[in-house]
Amino acid sequence: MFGFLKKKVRATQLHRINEKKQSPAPDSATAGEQLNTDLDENLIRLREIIGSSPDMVVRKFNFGPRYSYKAALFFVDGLVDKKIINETIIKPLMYDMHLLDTQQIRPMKDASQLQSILLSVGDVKEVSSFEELIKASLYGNTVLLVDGFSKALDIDTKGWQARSVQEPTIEQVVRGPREGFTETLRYNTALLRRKILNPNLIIEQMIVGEQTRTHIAIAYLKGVSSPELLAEVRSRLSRIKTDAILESGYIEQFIEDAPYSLFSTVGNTEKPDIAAARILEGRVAILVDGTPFALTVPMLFIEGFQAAEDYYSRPYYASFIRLLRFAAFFLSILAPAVYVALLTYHQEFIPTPLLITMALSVQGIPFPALVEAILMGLIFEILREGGIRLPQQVGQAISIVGALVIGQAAVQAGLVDQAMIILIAFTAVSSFLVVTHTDASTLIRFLLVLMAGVLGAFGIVIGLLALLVHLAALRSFGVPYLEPIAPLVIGDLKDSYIRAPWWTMLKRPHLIAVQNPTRQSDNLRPSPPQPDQTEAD
Amino acid sequence: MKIISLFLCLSIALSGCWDKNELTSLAITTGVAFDTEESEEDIQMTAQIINLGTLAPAAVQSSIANPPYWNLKTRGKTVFDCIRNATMQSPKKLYWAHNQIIVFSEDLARQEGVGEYLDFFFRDAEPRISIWLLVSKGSASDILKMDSKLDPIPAMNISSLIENRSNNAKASAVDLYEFSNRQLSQATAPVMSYIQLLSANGEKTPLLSGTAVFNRDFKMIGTLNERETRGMLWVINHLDNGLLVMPSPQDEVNISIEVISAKTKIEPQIINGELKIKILVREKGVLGDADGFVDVLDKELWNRINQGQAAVIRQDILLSLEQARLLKADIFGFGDAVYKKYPREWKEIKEDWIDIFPALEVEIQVQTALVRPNMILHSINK
Amino acid sequence: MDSTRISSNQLGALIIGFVLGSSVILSPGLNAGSASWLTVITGVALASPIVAVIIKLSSVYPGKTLVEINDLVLGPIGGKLFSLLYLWYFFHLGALVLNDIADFISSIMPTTPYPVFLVVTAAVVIYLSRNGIEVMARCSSVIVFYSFLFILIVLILMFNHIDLANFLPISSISIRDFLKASYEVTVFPFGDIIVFTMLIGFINDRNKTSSTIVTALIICTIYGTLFNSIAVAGLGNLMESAIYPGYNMVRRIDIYSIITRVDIIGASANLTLGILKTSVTLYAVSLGCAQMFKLRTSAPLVLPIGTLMILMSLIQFDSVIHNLVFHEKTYIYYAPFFQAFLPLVTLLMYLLKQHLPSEKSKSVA
Repeated sequence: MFGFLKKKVRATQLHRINEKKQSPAPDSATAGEQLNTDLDENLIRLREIIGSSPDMVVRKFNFGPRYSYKAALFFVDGLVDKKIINETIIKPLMYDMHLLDTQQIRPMKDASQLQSILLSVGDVKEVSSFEELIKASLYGNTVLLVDGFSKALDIDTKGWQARSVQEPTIEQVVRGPREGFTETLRYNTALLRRKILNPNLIIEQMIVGEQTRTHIAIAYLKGVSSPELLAEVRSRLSRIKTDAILESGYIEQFIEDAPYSLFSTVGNTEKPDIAAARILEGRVAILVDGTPFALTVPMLFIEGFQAAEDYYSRPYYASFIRLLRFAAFFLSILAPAVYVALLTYHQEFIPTPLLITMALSVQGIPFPALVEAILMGLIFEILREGGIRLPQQVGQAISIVGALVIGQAAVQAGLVDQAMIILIAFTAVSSFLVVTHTDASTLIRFLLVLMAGVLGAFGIVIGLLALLVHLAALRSFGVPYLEPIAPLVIGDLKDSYIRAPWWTMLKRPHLIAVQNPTRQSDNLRPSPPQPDQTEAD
Repeated sequence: MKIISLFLCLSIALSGCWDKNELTSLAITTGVAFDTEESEEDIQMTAQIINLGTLAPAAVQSSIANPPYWNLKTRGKTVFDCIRNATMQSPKKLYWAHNQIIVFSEDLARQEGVGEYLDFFFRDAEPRISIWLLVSKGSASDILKMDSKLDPIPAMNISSLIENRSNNAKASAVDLYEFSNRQLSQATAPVMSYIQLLSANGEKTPLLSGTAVFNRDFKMIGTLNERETRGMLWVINHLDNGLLVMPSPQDEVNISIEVISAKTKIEPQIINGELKIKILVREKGVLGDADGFVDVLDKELWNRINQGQAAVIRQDILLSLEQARLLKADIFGFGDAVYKKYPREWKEIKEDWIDIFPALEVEIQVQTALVRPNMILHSINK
Repeated sequence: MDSTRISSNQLGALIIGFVLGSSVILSPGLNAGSASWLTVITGVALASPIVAVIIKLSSVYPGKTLVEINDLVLGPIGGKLFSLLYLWYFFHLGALVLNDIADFISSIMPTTPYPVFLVVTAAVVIYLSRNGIEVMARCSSVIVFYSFLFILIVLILMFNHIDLANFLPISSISIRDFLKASYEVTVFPFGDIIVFTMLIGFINDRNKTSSTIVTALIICTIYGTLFNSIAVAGLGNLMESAIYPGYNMVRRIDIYSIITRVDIIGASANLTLGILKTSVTLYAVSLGCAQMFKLRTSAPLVLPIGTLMILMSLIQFDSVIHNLVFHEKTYIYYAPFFQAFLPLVTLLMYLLKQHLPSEKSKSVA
């Protein structure tokens, strides 16, 4: 109570200090400052702004008839492809220009002529302020300043070292495209474009992060995504005023609906085909430069149970796997809790022979089932975390140690009961069937174990009900999180517990694609050709 | 946040775990026996508890010297009192949910009746409603001490014995539900299984056969022998898979017929104010064992065997009927059948049923079918 | 009333969950012996006038809650008085259901202090009600779906315990006793749906109001009949001696000694439905209070009223026997005053009001 008050007081104080100290934005010095016509003055000013960073290169040169034009290139070493600069900027200006008919080269007043006849690069823009100039160079472009011109040219020479498109590590498939998003925003938008070859795929770009000035892109399908959703996404993104966006997770936590929930209400994927599929259902994807994960909103609970491969393989097996994932999810949150409840409260539920076996296995175990379950769960989480963080070779050693020490030695020493080991291992494996909700399910598992230890099955039911209420109360960008289960949307159930054949899924998700619900025409059921009449005879 | 705080509040506020029973702190009771006691007021109870220490696979060798169970004898004023008094001797709390059998000694069942012993097992939430009820010839606690073969724990052994009784159809199986269902019915007499110990070569093994019959005041009034038990089982529709042994129509030898299905209907009829019970048995059997020559292609002979089994069934029922009349116990549920069909008339005769029942006219119709000779055409023993 | 809306299906699910609510714990109508399965049907038939009144009121004042209707029909003072009576009844009903749940759970876990169950159950109830009608509606469809699944499984598992002869004789009790048992079903649980006069206005498709209510009640009837039938056929003579027949029925399930003693699962289903019912009443009380005092939202009232409900449950009965006696002896005369008499008065006043001006206009004409 008092802590809460204190916090509030401190927060208001901080707020005041912040208002006073409002740290100056990095480009406030250059805000709106226009380029000069004098090259030397410009270069001096530029040096003032950028300081003495050795990677920011200024290359002066002369060109034109009798080398009368003084010019300078400004770029960031490492972000640009020097070959492009040499081949397409310096060479044309310093060498090719002399091959042209001198009549054609009238005295130039601005850069437009350079742009139109001399520079052989794809993307050239004019910039007129220092702010734009620096922004462009920091994004791997080269800026060409010419003495006497009031505008500079921003030439696309991006060419930094980037990871190429590779197979994603988390969302792996047996059947389906192998490519995954990379850290480079442009590649990622390109990957999306390659999936949806349609001008209606709109990509809006914006910059977030006061210090990092990270480029992010919103991708959506015009005419399918609802304007309200788009407006909401834009407004939430533009609200973000923070130092840095280093990963899409930053964005996620600034735009999600339920910041206190254990469950994520913003989806993510590292596969362009999944992102494209979600965009096609009317969702909006948010791509963040430097992150191989695309965010998709709105996100539904059910998305955690849908894998890309479900849609590529045949519906029966896909449906079976779906049901299996639901079972695994419930097992992963419930199994240890139920075990604890059975072992400490409801022994009557266990068939007699099994009870005797269990009683034999827990005989002499010094800990109560509740403590044992929590301890074993924690040990597993420690092993798991260790396995992920350690280098691969050591990670394997960890798993061997885990298996030997926990699996064998602890049982033989009579510290834990065998059934518990089996159960914890099984639970852990099942929690990975639904990767999206793994972190939520892990925490819920512990909470439910506690509830079960305190109140038995009654506690579990109460816990599950609270969970249900919580999930039912969640919304993601206006869409109820549990849709299509609660509220029940019969049509969308085709892609929930089961995955119906493609030709039956006529509609896009009901509450997401409000704008344009129809996915396909309704007579797509394939059938063999009608038998030929004559052949039948 | 809300959900976390909710959980935290709950876990902290409720850190006491009141109804908690750690499995390691439970004494799993598998059977219980009640015997007569010299002092009238007291109840003597023997509870059979699994002794996990000697049940563990490594300890099998030593199990002869140290059996995997512990028969705990206690006494008290009521059953519950006995159970709680047991904790004065047992370091672990007796746990009843897996109790399989309740055995009453015949003396107790005949003299005191079992009424006061059963209430606890209904009222308490722990015991299951499918506990088998038995009456033992002689001391009940001896039953729990028998030499248990195949299953190390006598109570579990007896429980399996009862579950497999349909193979012989010479013993009845009555659980708590059925006993009370009969007791709570209009006029049906409750029954229990009847068990005794056979002693041979110093080993005491169980024999489950026959039936103990109770009157409606929970007092045992008599027994049915094996054949009479089978007769009762025919009528109350509890016979699924017995064996009928009868003399062969040809020779002096016996043949046996395995019952594969049986269905009985009890139909009370009131004709001209006279109550009459009609029993219709439909049975199907297969030829199981024909000692001596039986030619299954001989249709005449086949029919005679079939009629033979009908005669056996009729005889079974007649024998049990005779015994029931003698005991004045409506073990067949005729009264309830009347009640179900003629509820108004029943009201008038309900009070006198115990006198009406023995004099009741009973018509038995048996329809049998002999459906298969099993694997061979001719007996090898010509 | 704010702009939140629920679909007709969700309203139906809420009604089903509500009616089944505590009735699956106490299984009303089972004291009619072998004819118990019929009591649900006759009970609904007897309850139909109440349902008709509810439908009529909601159709003449679409989108209004009972509190608002009372104000419109009976004037500000009379309306408030009536609303106060109703709110008392809803509040008391919620407390009663809480008692039923806690009694039931504590008969399974006897040494845990009774208030623990009350508080823990009420915590979820308050959490659910606080989230508002939409979340309640969403949860109800999930809960009702799974409890239907559950009864289906019980039906299948009970199959080899069912003895159809237990339905005989059809008339094991007198007509009078039978009608009394049916009347008990009318009052509890069917009469309780008067609470929905507070919630019907939230439906998004008002044309479907009456069909939704009727369909939901028919489903409840089928469910109840099925439930009682299994209890009659599966429990036989033991049925009458059980406090919780449904629960005892589930205790009989024994499939190859593997699936035995599934009572704890049955108890869970009972608990869940009971919580749904209580939260509906709690929401109705909170909403009614908010409307009486012209508050913008009812959410802040849920916690204090819920706490009062816990206290009420704590003090109103000394033991489960008092609760049972109250159910058997008092409730069946106490509840109809609120379930039937008050709504009827409201409706009559409305008709009178309609009638008078029309006569006036006629005479003028």
